[in-house]
Amino acid sequence: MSCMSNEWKNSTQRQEDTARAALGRYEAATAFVLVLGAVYEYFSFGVWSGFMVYAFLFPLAGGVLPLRILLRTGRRIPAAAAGLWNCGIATFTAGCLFCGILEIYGTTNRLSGIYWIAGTVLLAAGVLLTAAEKAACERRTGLQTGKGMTGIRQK
Amino acid sequence: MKKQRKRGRIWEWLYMALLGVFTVYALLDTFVITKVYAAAGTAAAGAETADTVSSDTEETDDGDTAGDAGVAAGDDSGTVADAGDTAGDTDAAAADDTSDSTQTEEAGTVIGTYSQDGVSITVKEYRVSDTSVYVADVTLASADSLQSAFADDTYGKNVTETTSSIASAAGAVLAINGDFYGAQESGYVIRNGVLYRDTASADSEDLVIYKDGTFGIENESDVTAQELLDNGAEQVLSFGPALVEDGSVSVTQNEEVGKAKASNPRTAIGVIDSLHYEFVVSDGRTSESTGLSLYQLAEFMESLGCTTAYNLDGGGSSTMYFNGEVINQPTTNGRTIAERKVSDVLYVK
Repeated sequence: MSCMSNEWKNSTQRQEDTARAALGRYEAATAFVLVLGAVYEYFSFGVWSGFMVYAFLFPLAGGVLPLRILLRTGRRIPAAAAGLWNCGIATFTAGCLFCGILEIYGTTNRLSGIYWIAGTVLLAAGVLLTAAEKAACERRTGLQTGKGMTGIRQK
Repeated sequence: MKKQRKRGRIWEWLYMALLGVFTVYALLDTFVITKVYAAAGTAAAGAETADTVSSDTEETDDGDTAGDAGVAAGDDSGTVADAGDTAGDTDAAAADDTSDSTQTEEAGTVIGTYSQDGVSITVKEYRVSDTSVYVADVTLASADSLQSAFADDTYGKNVTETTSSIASAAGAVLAINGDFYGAQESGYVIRNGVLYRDTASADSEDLVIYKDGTFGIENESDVTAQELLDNGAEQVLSFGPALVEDGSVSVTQNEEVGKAKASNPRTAIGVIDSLHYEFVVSDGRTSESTGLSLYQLAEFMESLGCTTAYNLDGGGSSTMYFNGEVINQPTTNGRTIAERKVSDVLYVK
């Protein structure tokens, strides 16, 4: 299937709906993590943790903002890459909250490092997959832009 | 097509579930799962350190470190005065030296005294910045009377007991919570002359109590645990920071933003001169006591005349045990008045 096929064009609306649903999930996650961090801080007797307070920035900067940009520009990313990216953001967010809990309690755990490693690997994999799909799409269609490359996954 | 999309998302949901399971495990590993460790170097056969540690570890197993029948808790034959007997006593040192941020509203009230076998203890309660602060003025004939003990007489992670329970098992007259070493994975741990953990924690300021009873403040970036042991360290506590050094407050009001500026229950130990110590615990998180900031605590320790003073684990851990009773109002799980289980205590027997 070509990146410029009618099938791809037909799938645009569906993909946009999917992106909007993902945006909604990210907005909900941002609000949830923001409230969770604030409530946790409120009951932490003045012990401040940047991890806890700023954990909401991961779903915000890694989900809400990119999706808004993608929806505005009409660009798409492969579903598999989006999945990897989502998992990476979730991992970073969970790791940040975990580190916040440890910091407020005043303890450490070597397992916290796994979140940062796994999150980085997943995000990098998502970016690489997007780049690979884009390159493959461009090779097939001769397109110079990345628009429409998600059509690849619809075959 | 819909099925394909759903299939595409299955692994994503599976990963999220795995992430949740891992996080639960990590939390259990941090707060619940008990792990018993060997002293540092015990596995290294043939090394000089291993010889020292293995013999010391046996000593610990025999119960010499904790559990000695010194003075049975609550049943000692020393001279113990109840609270109120000498109520109204004042501590001139503390009353005379108050600063802008630390207001000692009334002079110390004697809660109890103890004197036996070269150990002399006077416990007083002060009101400092709307907070009850308990001070045990301790004079020893020998540094051997100042010791530490682990929960369950065991070195490990999530091995905890209440301060009173550990103190009672150790036969302590007076005890305060220690540095809660079990909550950290690094930071030197030397107790009763045994090296248990030699992993340095970057820039951690340690309290070193030497065999002769003198105090020192050392940074783990500058010295190894083995060097401290070789230099005669009997106890090394890794929490901090140092509150008073060379008779002057060594923390600033803006230092350690967050933890330091917040008012909380606190525990500290200081030395005035040779074998003369101050064990200090403040209440907090209650309607009666707001708690102290690190700076307020440091000023108070300085006002007591301490030349060196050090902050130990605070918050819900802050507990002072004297003559078979917990004398402060420790808070657990928020504002519940109950003792929190801790890893270790410092005690006098």
